[in-house]
Amino acid sequence: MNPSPMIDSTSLVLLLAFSVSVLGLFVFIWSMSNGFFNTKESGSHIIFEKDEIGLVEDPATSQSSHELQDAAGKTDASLSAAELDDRLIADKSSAIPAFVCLLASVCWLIIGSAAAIVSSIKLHNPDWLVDSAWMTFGRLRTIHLNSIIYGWASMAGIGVSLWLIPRLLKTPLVGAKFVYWGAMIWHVALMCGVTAIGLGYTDGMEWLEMPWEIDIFIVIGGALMGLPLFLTLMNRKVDHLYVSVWYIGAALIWFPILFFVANIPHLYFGVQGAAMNWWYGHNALGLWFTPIGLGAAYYFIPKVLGRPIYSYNLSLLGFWCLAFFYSQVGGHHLIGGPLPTWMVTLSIVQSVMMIIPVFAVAVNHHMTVGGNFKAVLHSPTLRFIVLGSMLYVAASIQGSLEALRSVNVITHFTHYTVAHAHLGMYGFFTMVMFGSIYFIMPRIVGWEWPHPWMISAHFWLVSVGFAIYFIGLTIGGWLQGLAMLDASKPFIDSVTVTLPYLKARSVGGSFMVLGHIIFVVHFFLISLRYGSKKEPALLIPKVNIPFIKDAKVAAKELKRG
Amino acid sequence: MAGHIDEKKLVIGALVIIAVSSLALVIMPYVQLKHIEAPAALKPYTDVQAKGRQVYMSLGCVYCHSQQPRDPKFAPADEKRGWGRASTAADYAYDQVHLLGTMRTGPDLLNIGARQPSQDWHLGHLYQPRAYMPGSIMPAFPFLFIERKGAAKPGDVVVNLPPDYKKPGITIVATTDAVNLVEYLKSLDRTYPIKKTIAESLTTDKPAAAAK
Amino acid sequence: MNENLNDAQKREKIDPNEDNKPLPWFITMTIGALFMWSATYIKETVMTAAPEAGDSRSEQVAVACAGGGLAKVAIDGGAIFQAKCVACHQATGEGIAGVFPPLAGSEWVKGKPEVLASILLHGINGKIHVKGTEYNGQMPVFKDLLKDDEIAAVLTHIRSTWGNNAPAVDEKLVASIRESTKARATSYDGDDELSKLEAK
Repeated sequence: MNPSPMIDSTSLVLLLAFSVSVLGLFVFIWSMSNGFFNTKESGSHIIFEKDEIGLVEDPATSQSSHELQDAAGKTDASLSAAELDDRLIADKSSAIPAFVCLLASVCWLIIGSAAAIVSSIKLHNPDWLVDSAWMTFGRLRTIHLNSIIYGWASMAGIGVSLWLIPRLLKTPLVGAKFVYWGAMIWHVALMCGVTAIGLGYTDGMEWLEMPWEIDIFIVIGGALMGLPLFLTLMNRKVDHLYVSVWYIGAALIWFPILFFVANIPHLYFGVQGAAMNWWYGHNALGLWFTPIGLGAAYYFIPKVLGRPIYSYNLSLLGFWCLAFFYSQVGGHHLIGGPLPTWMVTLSIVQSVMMIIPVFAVAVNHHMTVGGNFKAVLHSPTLRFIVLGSMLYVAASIQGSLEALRSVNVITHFTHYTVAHAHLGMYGFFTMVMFGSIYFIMPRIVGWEWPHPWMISAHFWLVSVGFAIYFIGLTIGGWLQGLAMLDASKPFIDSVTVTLPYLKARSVGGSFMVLGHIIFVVHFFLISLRYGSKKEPALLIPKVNIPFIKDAKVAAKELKRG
Repeated sequence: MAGHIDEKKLVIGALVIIAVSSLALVIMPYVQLKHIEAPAALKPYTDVQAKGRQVYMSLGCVYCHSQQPRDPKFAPADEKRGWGRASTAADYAYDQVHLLGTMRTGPDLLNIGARQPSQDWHLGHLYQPRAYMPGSIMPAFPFLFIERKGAAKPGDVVVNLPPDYKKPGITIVATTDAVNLVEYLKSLDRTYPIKKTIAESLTTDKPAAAAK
Repeated sequence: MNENLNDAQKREKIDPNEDNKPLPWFITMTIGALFMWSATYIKETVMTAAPEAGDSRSEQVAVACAGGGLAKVAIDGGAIFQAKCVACHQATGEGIAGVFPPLAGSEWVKGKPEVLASILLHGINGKIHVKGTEYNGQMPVFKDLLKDDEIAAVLTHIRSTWGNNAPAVDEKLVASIRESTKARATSYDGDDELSKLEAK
């Protein structure tokens, strides 16, 4: 070997592989957005009737809001009878399957939240509830994670997808009965899995604790629930696939593969198992929850505002870059660990490259919301989803920085990482799911949300609660990391320093749990069609809504664009 | 419509992406690390230690304890705290399910057996961590112990406690699970020099049977 | 108007779509900049160590992985105490009341170095009196965990800390005790056996 090489051979190979694959990726994206195509012919906003462009949908068309009606014209007039029929058929076909999934998801949200708050308190009151094995921190925390990941988040994601896909494809959902069977199998399996963890049966790897014998049924249940989406895709009426369909469709291909490969028993060994573990762990986030969350945000933001998404090219870039870069970041969980340097380095670099898709999504959403930012005040859906999208950007940028060795050496192994994980799964994904459910449920049950104050209370409790949670744990985790790196301090100092912040987390967490209880009670009230049939739930009802731009101005802008 | 994604492009693209991802993070490490052999100084887990490892997994110890000291040049405190030298792939040759961990709410345990070989300490610490380590936030595990009224029976593994934590007339006796767990913890010792581990693994071309 | 539509469905508009807009220039710039950064990061990361050595392994580990030896590290009795002894005997040397005997002011620590070395090598299993209090536990066996020079260093450390003021222990003494007690397979049975050694 050359005694003083410019670059060592492993680095060279990695550099070449990285460059070639990134180049390939951009050529692939370019081929779709350019090359063979023809931008004039795009159906991008032909299907927007000119009257609808620039109108907000969710809260704005309240029958009682005359000023708004005058400004906007009757909404009904802007939709053709055929389009209304499509919507009716689509919604009717998906109503019950989507409801089954959403109902299950909110039940798991309560179970998962209860386990979470008890686990959180246990970290600063370690002698609380220690008499039964299933209540010990290590098990309760795992019950929390599995209930939230496979119960709440996955079920809510599938429910929202089941409702969105028929609408996006203007095609009734094909094969709804598979959903019922799938949901049943999934839930029996998940209940067995969570019970098994409580009893101490575990496969031992984070995110993959449920015994593999039970995982078989999760795979079967998941496949059955995903099947109707593909059947619908094959029978679709529209030609153009909207960006949300890419995200959701791809997620439904990725997750079963990930979950199946990761749970093959007796195949992985030693540290290689750790590489696989975090390949799965981060891909569950990157290739399952994130695409579904973004798919929903890409639908509801323009939907509620009545404006098309700013740029197709940005959507395209964001989607494929997310898929490519996000799927290779798992190794950043093993920085400094006994795994090959090239693998960890690749994951660090891809984590930083994640800035591209995040930036693309952020710009696309921001330009779409445009001057209508005040709509966030009024629409429950938009309020949650816009907050969720903003926190997505925050979580992703934080993730890119956290992957750098110089930052990771402090934050690795600390509560900082826990705060970051919740910024992604809660701040982003869960918020988007809340917003989506607020939009979907009135369509499913044909009833308005009975109590706007409950939506408001839910929003403020979870937002303030999560802010306390995140800021507290981030500071605590950082101090913990610094104390741990300072060998002149005893280890216990790195524990003591976190205590006030762990308590803050419990306080914030209690707010969040309270918010969830209000949300779930409200969910049951609307499901039972409680109260009298009311006007749409507005967070600030019956006010002059100043945020709507003059419809004509907006329409002109869009035509020019 | 030309220029738009259709479902074939979507499915094929999605599959290629997950294949690349698996190649980089699952298949390549598998191929590179498959041949690693266990160092001579590292012994396979005995039956009792393996059972203890199951208890460790079942109680979720891994969520607060890592098993992967970092390099002194990268994170010097790890070695200075006595957590041991930077670990290498061969050190985990007998770990069918890895327990590297991602949190250090408690200290790294890869070499806990070398730095804390006392069974008495481990048992008492599991029964009530704060008896031996004031300020600890580790959960107590009283369910791993039996409270026996009166004196201990022959064969009992008795746990000694400081006066503040003693209950009058009660003897605390460890269950088999507790003893197995402590046996596992005591077996955690990768303090042998790496020279042996890596040099041996490189000079042998016999493929390691990793999935025993 | 289709009467089956509920109000929520009626007041909606058509499902969203995308506009055609070229990539903003700053996105293109960002892509270029990130790519350059990444290439540099890969190039600058040292990857000479064997893949099995692990991530960010320093020169020392890298050399050892290539078959070379590890540099000899200076032995520090205080560090060994911190690593192996402190959990039971505590940083103050006071032990834990009723469970782990103190080292500070202990007659055993200040006594014959031969006995102390024997205890460290083979451990204790039985009743032992320290500073007038009876302890009944197990002292672990360190003969396989510590080398002679390490035992000498840690003994020297505990004999000269917390007000203890006994002479240093030599590596050769530990080696000779190790040799003379080679056949021993069990720990010492507390006071009963150790007092005899001390009295010798």
